[in-house]
Amino acid sequence: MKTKFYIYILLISAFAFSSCEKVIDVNLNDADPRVVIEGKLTTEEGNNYISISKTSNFYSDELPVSITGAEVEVSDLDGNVFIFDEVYSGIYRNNTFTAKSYNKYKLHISSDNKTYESTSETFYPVKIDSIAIEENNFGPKGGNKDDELHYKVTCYFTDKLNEDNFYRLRIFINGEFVSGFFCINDNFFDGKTIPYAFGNISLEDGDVVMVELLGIDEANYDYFYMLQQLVNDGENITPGNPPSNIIGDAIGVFGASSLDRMNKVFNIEE
Amino acid sequence: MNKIHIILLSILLAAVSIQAQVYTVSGSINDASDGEDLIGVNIAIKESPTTGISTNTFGFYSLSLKKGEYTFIFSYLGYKTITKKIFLDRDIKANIHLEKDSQTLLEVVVSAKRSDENIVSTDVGVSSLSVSDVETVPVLFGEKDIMKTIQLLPGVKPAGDGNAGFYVRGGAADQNLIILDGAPVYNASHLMGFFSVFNSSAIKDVKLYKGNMPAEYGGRLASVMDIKMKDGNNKEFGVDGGLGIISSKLTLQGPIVKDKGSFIVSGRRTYADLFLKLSSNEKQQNTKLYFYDLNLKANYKINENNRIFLSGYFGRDVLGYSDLFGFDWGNTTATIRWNHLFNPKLFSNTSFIYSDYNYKISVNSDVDVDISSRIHDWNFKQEFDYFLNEFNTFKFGVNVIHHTFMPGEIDSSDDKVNDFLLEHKYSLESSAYLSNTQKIFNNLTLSYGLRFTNFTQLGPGTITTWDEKGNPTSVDVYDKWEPVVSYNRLAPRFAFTYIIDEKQSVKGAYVRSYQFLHMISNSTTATPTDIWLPTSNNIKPSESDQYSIGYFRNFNENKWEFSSEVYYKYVKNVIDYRTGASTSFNANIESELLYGDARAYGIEFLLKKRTGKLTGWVSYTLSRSEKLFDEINNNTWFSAKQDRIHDFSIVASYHLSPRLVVSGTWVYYTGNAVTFPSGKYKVEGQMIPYYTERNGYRMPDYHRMDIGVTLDNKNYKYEFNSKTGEKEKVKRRFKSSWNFSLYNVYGRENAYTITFQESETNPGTTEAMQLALFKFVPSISYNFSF
Repeated sequence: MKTKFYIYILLISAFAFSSCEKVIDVNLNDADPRVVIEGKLTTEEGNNYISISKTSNFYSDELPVSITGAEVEVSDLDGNVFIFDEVYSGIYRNNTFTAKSYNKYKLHISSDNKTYESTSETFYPVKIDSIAIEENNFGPKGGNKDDELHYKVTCYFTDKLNEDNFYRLRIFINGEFVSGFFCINDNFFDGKTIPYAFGNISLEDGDVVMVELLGIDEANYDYFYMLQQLVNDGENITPGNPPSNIIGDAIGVFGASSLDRMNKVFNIEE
Repeated sequence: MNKIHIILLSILLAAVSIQAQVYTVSGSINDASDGEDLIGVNIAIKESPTTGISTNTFGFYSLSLKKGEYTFIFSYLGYKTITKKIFLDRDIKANIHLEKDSQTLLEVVVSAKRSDENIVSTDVGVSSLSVSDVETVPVLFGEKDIMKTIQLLPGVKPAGDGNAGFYVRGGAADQNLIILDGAPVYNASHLMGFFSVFNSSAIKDVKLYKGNMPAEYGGRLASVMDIKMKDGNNKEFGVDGGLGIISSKLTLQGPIVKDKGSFIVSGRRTYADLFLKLSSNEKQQNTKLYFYDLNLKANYKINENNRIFLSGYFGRDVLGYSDLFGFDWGNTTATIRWNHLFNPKLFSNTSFIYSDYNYKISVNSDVDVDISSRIHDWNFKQEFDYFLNEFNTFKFGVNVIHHTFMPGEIDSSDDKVNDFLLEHKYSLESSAYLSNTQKIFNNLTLSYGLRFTNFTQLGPGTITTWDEKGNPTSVDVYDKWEPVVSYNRLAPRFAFTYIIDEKQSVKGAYVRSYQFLHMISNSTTATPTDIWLPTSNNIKPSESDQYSIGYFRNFNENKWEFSSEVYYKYVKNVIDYRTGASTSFNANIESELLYGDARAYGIEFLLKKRTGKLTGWVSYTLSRSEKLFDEINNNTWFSAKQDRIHDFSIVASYHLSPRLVVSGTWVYYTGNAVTFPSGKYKVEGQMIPYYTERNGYRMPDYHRMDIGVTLDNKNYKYEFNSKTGEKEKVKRRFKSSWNFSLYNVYGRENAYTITFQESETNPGTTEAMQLALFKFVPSISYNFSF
């Protein structure tokens, strides 16, 4: 992140006159399709899904191939078993399932005579304290880019002392998901209020900003942190597939998490 | 291996036992105009054509011969040759002052060395450059840079577009030991690597050992770049400087006591940020973006046998955005050195050296924190050159370095963030070496030596041991100075030079070397936040064996030089990262590392024209550099990032007139090996690249041409002479020149990065986006001296 900022400031101030960006043709191999599992369970009733699909060729315009007809079930520490039904092609849900704090969930999938398993833990249910919207500190100011106004949205929440906590955040503007992956751990903030800032968010007067905060386990943090580096930052010293917690011949991630969300209406006068 | 040691030892003993009634001629050789010691001056004897030596790095020479009358010939390209008759019936001191030869200077000399240096020198796999080599070669922003010019030689490759970092013979960037007046420089680049920290105004000489390090050097596998600062003019006071589009520099030098001591002060500062002051945006006005370098050196000759030197380097990059963000980093080195002559045959060099690299980031936004990291060394070096007789020159000495590593620290002033400290690490690197350069026959010279190193990791600290999968197996606490783990390593060095005839020679070398420090990078590009990690209970020393052999030939009365070298290198215990490793502020960084092997091999060609109106060289390298790790690519050999198969460069300077030089360079190399995706999938509806192997793809090939023009202003004027009544040509004291250059003449868009993303214009599809940095960069600079 620091490096990105650094390159950015350097490029704009010194070398902008000679650098250029363009789309190029790069020949890429077509890897054999691989099973991809993405599973998300939350403490909100019915807010869960298990998606099963396959990787596709990089330049392919077609939708990823879904894996249909799989048997998907989730069990918890108390021995409850929940069946997830295919609601549409490759997406499996349970409308009544609700994850609990301090529990452990086990995923079991059978498909085409293959099985895939994974587990994920939940911790204390973290809540958002407040959301603040202010002028961007770094990068484009309000009005600088594409004639849109850009702001910094900071989400404040309080960490639990003496527990290793991992968080993931998502941000929506007027209900529309803002792409990117945003994670943080409590390494430097154990027991303190964490100010998580989304920089460079384009807003207009009256927009509704919603932030979702998920309390995740370490394996999920490692997975999403790597996605953050690959997708948001665009670089990593060793690009590769994020470390998967799926057991079986598949990539992807399975996670159970706490979920809290908060809305804030942006008032340009404030 | 033991057999080799025994053989070496017996050769050594044989060498010592050769004794005869001899006397010694010794002294120092320097430039008659400014007193700078001249390194590598050739001393030949007319009566004994096969005897010959050259001055050491302090301009000192010593030669022992039987009683008799001899004609000594002191020659150095670019200087007038001095012939001196000496009758040897006792030990004689002969200090020589060589005068610059204005005739050859007009022709510009590509290397101020003896004309057949290429053939007779005992160095194998060595590239040396003097500042004059750098002067006319066009570079990015017109900022003369010895580290960029050296990349145009075979076997040396730039780390990236416009980058001062380099790879030598397939080695990684952290396998280069860069020393400035004996002091290691841990981060030799400014501003993301686009400039090196070496201000060419303050540099006298650069020597790059491409893996064939003599025994006095150790600690890195791929190369040693030994940079010597100028001593300063001990005859008269002088000023020189330059104004460029990126930076300005000024050098002052002069005698402290005439002919006995001198000083030099050289400074450079960039001023890109000064333009930002013109901005209408208040925060941009307060943006800081600059670097500076300050080189200081003084020396004093107490008497014929004692001389002291003091040298220092201070450089820093400073970045800041308003008062919200500050980021600065830099190196400091200091050397105190004492040259002492015990007797005409025994030259001693004692140094105390301090090196420091650190960075600091200050954030004053939602939280107020200072983030910092540092590495610093205390270093003692005792070196002896013993000129036993005309056949044997011994070098021996010891070197002790105490390293302190402070990998990272976070200080919060407002208690909103927990203070955080990565434990400091301490280690002691102690070495002793002995080597001899021995003339066996008239046409065969052997260099052989041994270097022993003990590397000890010291407490205090809480030391965790990690297993192969990166899981902890034990945790132990150590007290201050308590050894945690100790490694003893013995590195043999061997080289030969066989002179076939006066026009051609064959040279070969075998070198074992060890590396005890490893750079951990948190980015694909060189950044100030790269940290160094010492060998520890988890990290073993890296070990390299390099074999090389070369053929050297000169043509047309030494005007043309040709050389070709073949090398093969095998390295054990190299470091790579686990996929997705997190390297910044990770207390368990050692659990993110993988250990494997590397190999590199290749053939290098160099054809060089050293004199005449047209000078320059053509170099080509065909090479591979590969790695092998259990955990990567199913334990098969894969390309290292710096595996550039073809590497080609042309450097040419043409003197249109005595005042006007036109120069050009063209480089071409195979793109770096990189990891690109071979598929994709979606997470939360967002495209994620799917990877199947490490470094399985190539960046596009790189090529670029630069041109430059250097125009010297008239260095004479006409003055009316009242005695003769005629106008006379008089030399001006004030000299100046203009330099114009254009980087990337034909605007090749060389890929700096390629990223894979969802198309913005055509949603749902994916594309590869290339960023190219430098497309046509013109520059102009003005240089002066008086």
